[in-house]
Formats: sequence, C-alpha cells, structure tokens
Amino acid sequence: METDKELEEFRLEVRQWIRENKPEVVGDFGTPSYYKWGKILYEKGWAVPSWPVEYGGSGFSPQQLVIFQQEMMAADAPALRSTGVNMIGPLIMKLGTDWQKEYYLPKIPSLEHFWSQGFSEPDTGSDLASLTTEAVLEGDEFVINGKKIWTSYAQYCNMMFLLVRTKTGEKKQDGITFLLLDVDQPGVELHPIKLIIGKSEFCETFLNNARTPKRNLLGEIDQGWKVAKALLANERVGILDRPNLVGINLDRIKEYAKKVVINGKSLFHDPILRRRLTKLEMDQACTRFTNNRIIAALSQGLAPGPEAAFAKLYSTELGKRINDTMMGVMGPDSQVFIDEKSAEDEMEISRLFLFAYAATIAAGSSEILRNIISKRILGLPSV
Amino acid sequence: MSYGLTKEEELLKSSVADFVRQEQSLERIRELREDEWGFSRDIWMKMAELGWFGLFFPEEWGGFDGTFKELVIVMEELGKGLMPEPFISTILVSGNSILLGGSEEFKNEILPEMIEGNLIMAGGFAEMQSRYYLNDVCTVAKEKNDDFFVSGTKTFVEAANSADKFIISARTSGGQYDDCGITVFLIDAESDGVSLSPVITMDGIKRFHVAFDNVKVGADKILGEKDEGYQLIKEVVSRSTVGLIGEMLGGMEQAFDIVIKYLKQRIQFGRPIGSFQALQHRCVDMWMEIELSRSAVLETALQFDTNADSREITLSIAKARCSNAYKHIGSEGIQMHGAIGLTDECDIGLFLKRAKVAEVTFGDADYHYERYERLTSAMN
Repeated sequence: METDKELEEFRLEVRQWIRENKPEVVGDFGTPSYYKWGKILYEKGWAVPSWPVEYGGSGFSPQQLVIFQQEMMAADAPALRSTGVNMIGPLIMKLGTDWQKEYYLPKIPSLEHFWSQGFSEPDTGSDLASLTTEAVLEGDEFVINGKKIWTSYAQYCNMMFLLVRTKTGEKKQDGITFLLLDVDQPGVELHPIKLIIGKSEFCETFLNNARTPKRNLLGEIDQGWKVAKALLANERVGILDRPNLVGINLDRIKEYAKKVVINGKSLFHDPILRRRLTKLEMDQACTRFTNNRIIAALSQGLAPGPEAAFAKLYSTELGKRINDTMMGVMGPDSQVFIDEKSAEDEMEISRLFLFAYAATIAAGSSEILRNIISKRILGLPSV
Repeated sequence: MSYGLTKEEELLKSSVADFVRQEQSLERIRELREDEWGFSRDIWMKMAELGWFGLFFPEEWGGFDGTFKELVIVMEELGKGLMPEPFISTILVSGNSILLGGSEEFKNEILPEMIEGNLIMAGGFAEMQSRYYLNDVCTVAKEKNDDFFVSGTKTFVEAANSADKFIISARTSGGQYDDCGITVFLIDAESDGVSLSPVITMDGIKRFHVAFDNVKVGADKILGEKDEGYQLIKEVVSRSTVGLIGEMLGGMEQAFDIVIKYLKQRIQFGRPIGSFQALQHRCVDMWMEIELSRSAVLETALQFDTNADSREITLSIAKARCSNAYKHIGSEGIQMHGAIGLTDECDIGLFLKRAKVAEVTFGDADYHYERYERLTSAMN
C-alpha cells in the first residue's frame, strides 16, 4: 500500500495530466470531442483504469483508482462508456472464452468497438425475463428475430450484447441466452427514438434474421438470466459516474441565485431557498459519506453489497430534486428548451431536468430496486 | 482512520452487544418507570467495571484514551437496548466538562471516581426559554467577596436526583444572549437552595427542573475561565452529541428490526403483511434512512478523531439526519403494526418515544439546519 504522501503525489500527477491533455469541452458519446478524448486516454494507458493490466488496465491500486476517478470527476472529464468498460468488458473477463477475451477485450479501450445493450423489448420493461426475441441455432450460427428497445446510443455503436429466448420453459427465467452481436449487418435495423429532451439517446432495434456465430455465445445456452443479473449490478454503479444523471452541481444553483434580484430582494439571500439548499447539501453529503464506506469496503477486497442498488436509487432520486430546485431558481428562464447560444456539446437545464428521469428508470427503475432490496436485503416475503 | 472496524473495535462492539443482551430486556424500561432513580445502580457499576466510562478519557485518570469511533460503537449498542443509565449526562456532558474545564485538582479528584462508577453527575445547560441555544442564559451568578450566588432554573436535567454534583452554566456578566459572560460551575447537589421538580418525560428517563435559589458556590468551583464558559459548553455538547447520534443509530436499527420481524409474522388476507408491496417499498425507504444515518454518524466520529475543520458541520448533518430518521422509523413502525402498535406492551412505541426525546436533545433537525447554515457561511 502507498503512503499518504505517495498517494498525494499521484493525485497531483493525475490532476496535472488531465489539465494538460483534456480538450476544453468533452461532449457526450457521439460527439467528435468524445472520440478525441477517448483516444488520448487510450494512448496514456488510462482508458480502462480498473481492468487487469493484461487487458489494458492501468495497474492502479484501489486507492489510486479512487483518486483517479475523483480527479476525472472534478475536471469534468468523462470516462469511457460504462457499457464497454464496466459492463461487457468485465463480464467477458469473468465468463468469456479465451477467444472472446483475446478478440473483444482489446477493442474496447482502443475505441474499435462500442457496445450497446439489447435487453428491453417493447413489451418487456421492468419485467425483463418475459422477453420474446428469439434465437435459433442453425448450424454454427444463431439466427435472431425480434425487437429490442431503449438500446442506448445504438446508432453510434457497432456491437451489441443481447438477451434472447432459446427455449420456452416453465419459468420465464429459463431458456434465456446471452449473445454478442455485430450490428453492421443487413439483419439489424436501427431507428433512433426522439425523446422528451428533443435528442435521440435511444434506439429501437429490429432484428430480422440477424446472424451471429456460435462462438459469440457468452456463458451457457439457456442460462443467460444469471449472466444478465451479474451485469445489472455493474450497470447501477456505472450510472453514478455520469453527472448528467445524478443532478447538476449545487454550486451552479448558488451561482445563478447570486445574479437574481426578485422585486428588489436578492434571491441568494432568501432564507427559504437557503433552507432548501441546506437540505439538498446534507442529503448529498450523506451519499458522499456512504460512497466513502463503499470505497473502504472495496479497498479491503469486500464486494460492494446492497450499497450499489442503494446508491443508485437514492442518488438518482436526489438528482431529480436538485434539478427541480435549479428550475425553480431560474423561474421563467427555466422554460427555455433549445438555447441558440449554448455550445453543441452542452445541454440546457431544461433538458437536463427532463433527462434525469432516465436515471430513475434505466438499469432497474426505482421501484424495481426497492423490490430487489426488499427481497434480498430485508428478506421480506414474496407474494 | 478507517470506515471498517478493526479487530479490537469488533471485539468492543460484540462485548457491549453481549452485555446489553444479558442485562437488558425492554421490560426493564417499563419496570423502571416506577423506580426512584429510573436506572439500575447495579448495571451502572457493571458498566464501570467493563471500563466503558473510562474509554474516552486519558490514561492518567484511569481511562483508556479511546476514540470517538469507539464511543459511537459503544453508544450504538447501548441504543439498541434503550439503556436508561445516565451515560450521556454523567460521562459525556459532565465528564467532558471536568476534563476540558477542570483544574488538575478537580480532574484528579473527580475523573477516577466517575470512571469507577462511584460518582454520578448531571449537566444542566438548558433553561425554559433557551431551547437549544447554549448562549441564552438567564441563570445568574452574583459575585460577593470570593463567592458566587447562583439563582435560576435549569431544565430537563437527567438523573438529577441521583447526582452528587451538578455542572451548570450561569451568567456572570453581559446580556441574556451574549456569548461572553457565561461561567460554568460545579455545584454540590446537597448545597442549600437547590431544589428539584420532577418532569415526566416520554421515554421514561427521570428528568428534573433544577432550581437554584441564591446557592453559594466558591470561586474555586469554576470550570474553565470566568465569563468564558460558552466555548467550553459548546465543545462539551458537541462531543456529547457524537455519543447521542451513535445511540440514535442503534435505536433506529433495533426499531427497524422489530418492524421487519412483525411484517414477516403477521398474517392478514391469508399472507404475511410483509409481502405487500405498499409496505415493502416504505421499508426500503426506512432502511435507506438508516444507512445514510450510519454513514453520517461514522463520518462524524472519524472527523472528530482527526479534528477535521468540517467536523462541526458534519455533526449538524448527522444530528439532523438521525433526528428525522429515528422518528421516521418509529412512526412508520407504529403505523405498520396497526392497533397493537398503540399498546404499551408492544415494544415499537418505546422506540418512537425515545426517538422524540433524542430529537429534542442537543438540537432538533430545524436547529441543526440553522446551525449548518451559520457554520457554512462562516467558512465561505
């Protein structure tokens, strides 16, 4: 383990490197600045910091990893997409064949592969196990037919991991299979879905005789549900890395309020606003303290337990309250939807406000997470 | 400094937990309502023998130089059993007053006796009008020759009828709300002019309004400096609050445990009521409040141990959270029990009552929001 002094030196080194190398604005996935930044991270060897060194990881200690992530967050420097780095990557390391590891893993940090997630279907939302997209093994290939929806950013991705039905059993969880699919083929058709924020973050994906070789089976045939469950815990942790999904910085609300005078009175000094911010700050502080606990458990080699579901549930709900407070502070200006002046990569508060709802629905809605905690942690009986 | 527990801390936690299980049944809380002292001297002495009173005091007076983290570990376990012994009033409030404000002579005379369990003290800083503001002091101490004459009333003083000594704040100069001009005195309980009126409070713990009518106190009984007592009692109350939030955390955990057990066992409409989603989701919200409280309590203790700049701010975050959370668990707990939850024989009510008293001890959530705002604007 490093001494405090060594860790502090490491922090300064990371901070300086980010300051010297990060483009001024790094946009969301799909924008040119995102790819530019991803390539810089890759060349430094910091694209997949948490991975084992043999697959391109940075070889950081748990403490260094935390510091690295803190510095990235502080500098508004996004990490590479969680779907590849935190979801399918680690899953392939754990359950993949040697061929899968060798072929797929290096292509994630090098930006050759971007992965999308094909889980939900039009009739399959929170009740994920009821999915009906079907795959039939023909010779050495699976032939896939059906529809996937809410495939985030699929229009910018060339790979998809998906759940398909290979058997209809007594239990809907049985007979689900986990497949990897190259989406650059005639059997796959993508239709971006326009969202309430006005942009397309999600796609509907039509699979008409899409084909994938048998070597792209992850885990065992008909046993994909177990594979998917392991993945969802990682997805929940991944959401917390995205500032857009857990509410804007509270300082932004204060900065805005400082400039507002309402009927002769400074909004910043309004005691009612101050009290609202106090409560939000306290709630946020308590999530920060909880993260400290999670990090401490991780660095002692303990698995993050229920805290992952808890952190996702609480932080994303809090994010909505924070954004709503910002909207209130902005008053009439909060209704502005598309501001001509805002940079291409920036989102207006009104769109962030709407986008935050994605966080309490995706990766297990708040209600599903409450079901999971109630059953697995509190041990309350099922119906 | 670490969030996880060391082996020694685990050991301390389990030894307190074992003790509480052996010595305390919640039935004792009901029996002690009729008791003159409101707690057991026998258990008090056993706690002393186990060394818990000295845990947070320096070795030279028989203590063990413990940490705030150890303090909250002990308090959490005591809180699970709703232990009515006056740990906070005697050990935390009074003990810290002596430690931080007493002369060497006082420390030598009092601390070892207190640590061994032979001396019970009661701290009284609150008054009828002061609510949670320690600077609001109307009790006066008039100086005549080398003595002071104290007049006024201190409210809700715990264990006052069993106390050998009182530690109180009184005004020696300045106006009612001034920070300056407050002096802390150590007063023998048997002094002429001291009278107690019992107040029956919700949690069953014995509390008294203690009136001082021209009580003579020597100038040598001042803790800290004359007129400079405000800083002392602020520090004493902060340290004591760290203990209190530990206790509150334990209380809410135990109350929640009782609720979950009941939901699993109570059958209505042919199935356990814990299988109803309307209750399950509310239970998850209760559980989250406990986990957030746990994080805040632990963080506060660690910040007090390292004397971090933000420790007082964090303390207010934690006390506000615990005040709301403990009350929430108790209140939801009664509702989920249904009518049986309203009966005295059902344990859940004991926890709501303790939660309500703990809430208004050392400041409720509204007070701590305001305190947080004061402290953070001072820092900016």
